[in-house]
Amino acid sequence: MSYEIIEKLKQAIDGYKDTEKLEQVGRVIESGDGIVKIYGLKNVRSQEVIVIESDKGDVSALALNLEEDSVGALVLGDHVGIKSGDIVKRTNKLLSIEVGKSLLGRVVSPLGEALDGRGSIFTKEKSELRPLENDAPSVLEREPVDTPLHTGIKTIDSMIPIGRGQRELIIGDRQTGKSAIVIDTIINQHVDTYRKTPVCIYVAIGQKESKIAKTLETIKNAGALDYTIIVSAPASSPAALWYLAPYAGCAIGEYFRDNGQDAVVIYDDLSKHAWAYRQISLLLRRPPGREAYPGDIFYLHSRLLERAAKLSKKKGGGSLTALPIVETQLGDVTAYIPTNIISITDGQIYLESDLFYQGVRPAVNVGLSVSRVGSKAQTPAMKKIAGKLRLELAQFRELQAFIQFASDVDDATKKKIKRGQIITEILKQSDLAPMPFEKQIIILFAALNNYLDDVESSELSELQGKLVENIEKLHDKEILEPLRKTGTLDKETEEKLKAAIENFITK
Amino acid sequence: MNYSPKLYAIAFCQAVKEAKTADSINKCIKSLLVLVEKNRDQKKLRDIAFFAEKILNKESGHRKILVESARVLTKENEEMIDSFTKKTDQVVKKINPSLVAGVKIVIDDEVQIDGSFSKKIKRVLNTI
Repeated sequence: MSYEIIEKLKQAIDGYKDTEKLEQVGRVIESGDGIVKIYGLKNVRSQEVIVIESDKGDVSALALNLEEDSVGALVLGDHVGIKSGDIVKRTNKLLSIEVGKSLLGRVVSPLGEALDGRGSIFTKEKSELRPLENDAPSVLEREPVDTPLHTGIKTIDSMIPIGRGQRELIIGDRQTGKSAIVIDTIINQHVDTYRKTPVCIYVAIGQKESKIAKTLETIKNAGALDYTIIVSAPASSPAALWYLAPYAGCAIGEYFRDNGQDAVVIYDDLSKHAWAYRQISLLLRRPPGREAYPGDIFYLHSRLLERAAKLSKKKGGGSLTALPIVETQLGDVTAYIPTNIISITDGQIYLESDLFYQGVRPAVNVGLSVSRVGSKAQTPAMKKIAGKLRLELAQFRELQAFIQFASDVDDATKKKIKRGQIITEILKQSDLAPMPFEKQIIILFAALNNYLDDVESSELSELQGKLVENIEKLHDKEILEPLRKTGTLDKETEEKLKAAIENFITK
Repeated sequence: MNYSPKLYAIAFCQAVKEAKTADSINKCIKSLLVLVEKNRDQKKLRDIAFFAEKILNKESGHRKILVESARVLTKENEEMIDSFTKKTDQVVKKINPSLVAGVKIVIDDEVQIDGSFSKKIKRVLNTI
C-alpha cells in the first residue's frame, strides 16, 4: 500500500510543471450567512467557481453578484472559517458536476460528492464534467412529445398521461401524497416491459434526512435503485446546496438525454428551492419583489424546466422528463410560485387534501388536473379505453352536487351516480403499488363496459385484484402479452378480453 | 442615512485632495472620525480605510506590493525585488513560515504570483 502511494507521488512529481503565472485575486471584505463580498476579481464571470484561502483551508464559492468593484459570492463549503481579509482566487471554471453511468444507484450531493458511504463514484468508468447551468435545447433540436411515460397510477395514466420529454407539475398541500406519486413512478419503470427504462433522478431539496433515507430504502427494496440517482440537499445543508440541487439533477439528466437515453428528473420540491433562492438573494441585497422573492424568480424556474425536452432523432432521440413538485398552503394555487410553475409546465396533477381525507387515494382532482401534451403521449390501447372516463367522472361530480339538494332522482340519474361511484372506487390505489398499464386496461375496460355495475362498492377493490389475477394466470399470452408488446387493443384481443371478463363475472 | 464604506472613503479622499497643509489633513481625519462616530458606523472603519487607501493609491499611481517569504530575505533577493518596483510603490515585507520556502507577491490586492513551496506541494498532492 505504502509502495503504491510513493509510486503515485513519484509520478505526480515527474509530471509536475513549474510554471508560475500571475493570478487574479481578491480579498474578502464581508462574510456572513454563507455569503461573502469580495473586493477585486475584476474579470470574474458569473457562475464561476472561486477559491477562498481561509485559515481552515481552501473553501469554494460561487460568484453570483458582479458589482462595480466587488463581487458577491455564495460559499459552497464551511463558511465559519472565512474572515475579512482572506485572499480569494479565480479558477476560470464554471460550476460543474462530474457525470457518468457510475452515478446510477448512488446518492450524491449537488456538487457530485458521494453521500452513501460507498466510496468514490468514478474509479474505472468514463466520466465527464457538465456545467450546472446549461442552455436548453433549441426549437430545431426538439421533437414533439409522443412516447408515454407510464406512472403505474390508474388515474394518471388514463386521464392525465405524461409523455417522455414533458414537464408535469405535481401540486398540492402537505401530506397529500405528492412524493408517493413520484416514487410510484420510479418503481413502475422496471415493470414497464418492452419500453426503454428511463434513468430516474430524484432531487431531494430541503427534506429531512430521515425522509431521504426512507425514500432510498423504498426505492432499493422495490428493486429500482439500479436505474435511479438521488441528489440530496437535506434540510441541514446550507441554502447554497438547496439552490444548486435541481440544477445538478438536471445536468445529470442531460448527460443521459444527450447520450440517446430517456431520463426523468424529479424536483421534490421547488417551493423550498424558491425559499433558498429568496434567502440567498436577500442576503446578496438584491431588491425584493412580490412575497419578497427576487425579480428573477420566474427565470430561475423557467430556465431549469426548459432543459427538459424530447430531442430529435438527429440529436440522438433522448429525452428528459421533468416532474417538479410544488407545495401549496391551504390549497392556494394562486400564490406566486405555484402560478409561475403552472404557467411554465405542460400540465399539472392537482392533489386535494379533502379528497385525501375522504379516502380517495391518490387524491387527484381530475377536474383541475391536466396534461397539455394530451393523448398524443398515451398508449393507443389506453386512449381507446379511457377516452370517455373523464367525461363520465365529470358528469358524476355534477350529479353528486345536485343530489345533495334533490331527494327524488330518476333511474337514469341513479345509474349514472352508481357508475361514477364505481369509477371512483376502481381508480383508488394504495401507494407503492404501481400497476402495469396492461392490467390498468383490463380494470378500466371492465368498469367502462358495465361489467362491474352490479358489484357493491365495498367489494370492488377485492374483485379487481381477482380479475387481474385471473386474466394473468389464464390469458397472459393471448391478452396481456399483446397489450404489453404492442400497446394497442385490436379487435381480436378485445373479443378475448370481453370473453374472459364475462367468464370471470359469471363465476 | 446609511452610508457605505466606499462612500465615506470617496468623500474623505475628496477632502484630503483639497487640503494643502498637514494640519488640514489632520482636520479631515478628525472630521471623518467624528462623522463615523455620530452615525454609529465604527464597524465600517476598517473598510473605510481599505477603500481610502485604494482610491488614494489609484490617484497617485502608487502600488501596494506585499512580499511574503518563509524566512528573512537575503540582500540579493531584496535587491532583486527593488529592481522590479518603483520608488513610489509601497512595499510591505512579511515573514510567513507557512509558505515553507519561496516567495509570494501580491500587488494591489488584485494580482498575485505565488512561488511558495507550500503551494507547489498542494498542487502535486491534488494530482494524486
